[in-house]
Amino acid sequence: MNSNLIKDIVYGLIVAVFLAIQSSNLIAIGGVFPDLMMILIVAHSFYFGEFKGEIFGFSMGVLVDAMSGTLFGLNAFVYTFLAWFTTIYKRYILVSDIVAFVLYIFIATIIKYIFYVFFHWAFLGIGLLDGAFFLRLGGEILYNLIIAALLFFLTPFLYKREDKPF
Amino acid sequence: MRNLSFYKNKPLITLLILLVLSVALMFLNTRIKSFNIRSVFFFITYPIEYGISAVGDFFHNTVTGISKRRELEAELDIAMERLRRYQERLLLYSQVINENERLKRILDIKESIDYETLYARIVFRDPTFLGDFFIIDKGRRDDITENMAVVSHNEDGELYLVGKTTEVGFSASKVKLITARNFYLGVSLKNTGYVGLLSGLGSWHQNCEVDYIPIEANTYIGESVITSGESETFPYGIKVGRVVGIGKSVMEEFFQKLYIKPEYSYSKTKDVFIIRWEPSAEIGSLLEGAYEQ
Repeated sequence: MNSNLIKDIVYGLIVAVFLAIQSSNLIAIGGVFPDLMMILIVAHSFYFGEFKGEIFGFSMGVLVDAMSGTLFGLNAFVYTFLAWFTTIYKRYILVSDIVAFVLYIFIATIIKYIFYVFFHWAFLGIGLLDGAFFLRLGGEILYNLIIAALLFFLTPFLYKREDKPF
Repeated sequence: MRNLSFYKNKPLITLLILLVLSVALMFLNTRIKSFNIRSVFFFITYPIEYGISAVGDFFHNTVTGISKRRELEAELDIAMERLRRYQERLLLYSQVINENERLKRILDIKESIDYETLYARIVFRDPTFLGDFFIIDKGRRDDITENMAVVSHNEDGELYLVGKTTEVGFSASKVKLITARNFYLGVSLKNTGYVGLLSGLGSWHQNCEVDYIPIEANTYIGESVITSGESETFPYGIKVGRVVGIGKSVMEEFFQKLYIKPEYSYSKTKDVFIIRWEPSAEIGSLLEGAYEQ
């Protein structure tokens, strides 16, 4: 069997596991849980390029929307945008190490919450900005940074055999 | 050229298309209630989610079970310790109940005795069971004097003679047993009433002999022997023992000798009663101590 196919199957299983973990809040701490799919999509986009990243991000976003019960299409929008935004990021930041990757996750989390606030106001008429919102934002940023740092060391095994710089 | 431009801007064009599609989905989801595309995707993701959550539950339950096991082990230790303490208390309680019942029985026996009595416990006995005495826990401070009759009881509450006090201290007294050598007692056969003289042969023998029973007394093996009451020490009617043998007396033409097994058992007797009794007649000054020493 083609080794790439095996890797794709393994990758697919990992994606399914991350998807299930995210929807079940299994690793939540104090009501705060990391956005595993966002981190995975960003890494996917860094490795496979923006085009494949956008397709992947949109697909995963739709699945997350289906399982989460939130505004349907919101996560699809956010993940697609973040996958494309890596282009801008790579243009100005040399993303060859863990610091750059973690920094992008930090920026991505903030962008994600900006879109959340905007679209909740635009489509649902709900204002999200309060103390709890910022607490949750801070908690998720911290949690995402930790997961991103751990995932950074796994990405060579997940995506390619040879080390590929960002 | 156009194709080259398209491929060059493919990511941007794809982005715009997908973003518009996402906004359209959001719009349809909020504005048109009948538009339920979520359920279609949920149908796809549910099996995956169910499988993953089942695996997650398995590991969660395993970890919980392991940690729970430690808690349960600790609780088990506590429960075992409590059980041990309760068992000790139960044993103590049962001992208290037994002691209570024993004392109630003794009280009943005491009340059934026609004479005034004093309860005493045996505090020392010859460990070889060959002694002619034991020590009780009553003495001069309890108004005990020498030559007081000492009786005990069997399981049915029947009284039998044990011996008499010989040496009396302040808080303890020595009791000479009826089986002791040189112990003499006036007895009578319960059925026929013939009177004789019981003497102990030493505790080694475990039996006593009764002499001076007339030859014409039709005694038999198993007949009861009681105190005759013809003394200053032993009132009438206290059971002494049973006839276990009939032999020849020295003066065999006139008397027969009986062998008596006392009711009293050296090893089984644990508590006794001391009888405070005085004969109605002053016989002491008239006797020259023919029967007792």
